[in-house]
Amino acid sequence: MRSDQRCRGIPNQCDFSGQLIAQALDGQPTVEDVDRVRAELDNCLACVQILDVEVRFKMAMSQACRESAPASLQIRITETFQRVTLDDLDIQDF
Amino acid sequence: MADQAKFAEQAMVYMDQLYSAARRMTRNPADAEDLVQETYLRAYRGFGSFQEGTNLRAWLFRILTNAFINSYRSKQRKPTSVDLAGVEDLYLHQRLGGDTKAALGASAEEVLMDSITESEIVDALESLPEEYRIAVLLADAEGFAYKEIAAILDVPIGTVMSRLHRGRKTLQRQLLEFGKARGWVDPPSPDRAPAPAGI
Repeated sequence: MRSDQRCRGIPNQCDFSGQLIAQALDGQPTVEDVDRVRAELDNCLACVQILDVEVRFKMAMSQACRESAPASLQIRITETFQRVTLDDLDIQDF
Repeated sequence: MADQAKFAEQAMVYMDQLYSAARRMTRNPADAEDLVQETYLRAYRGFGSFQEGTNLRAWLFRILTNAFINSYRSKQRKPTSVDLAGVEDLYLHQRLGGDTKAALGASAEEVLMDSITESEIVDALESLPEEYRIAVLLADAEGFAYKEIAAILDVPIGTVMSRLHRGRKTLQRQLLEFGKARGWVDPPSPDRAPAPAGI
């Protein structure tokens, strides 16, 4: 991504900001990236909406995919740890 | 080197997260339980080599992912690699506009995201080809960063970014179809339509 690229402030044409925001949300932004995202958000309402949608998407994914392991699985694995030792651990024990 | 006696105490707290990921990877509860069980067995055996102070959660997810790729993928007879190079490169936010958005105000995206059910999101995720599904799962559902996903999958960061980008866009396109079916999303404008074949 070139450092001289900028959002054009035109709704539906903020491709650059979309990529930049996605990278920032994925946890690998440089200080320069954060400053550029901040500048885009200060100057373009469409970019604020991009950020909102991307954040909502990640939150929805996180919530939709969250499940609790069955209690029976937890008990089975816990009992196995109590029963076996490293030396005689064997797949057949399961 | 980690003390194996502490394994259960330190590792069992991640069981729900591992099970959730296993459900999306295997797409069925029985295989997910087997996969988590195998993951804990492998982790228990290898805990002596785990470096205390490093990321135990990422280490467990690496074992889970490797166990899935090496053991369960072959059992499931699913396509292992699908090229999404032709995925239409449109973002969710680019397709919410026009009359529908005007009618709904600035909250059209919120309407769409709030209206999609969790099961629809899960169905869309599980329909992705495996390598894209795992990348999206690790990033968006589990919150791992590019660098961590690269270590879990043992691929370069650039590969993670590519898989994540294409996987997300495919997933979002499916959610857009959901929105279009309900009249919340505009059809694609002519200037953004895919080029005809052969051009």
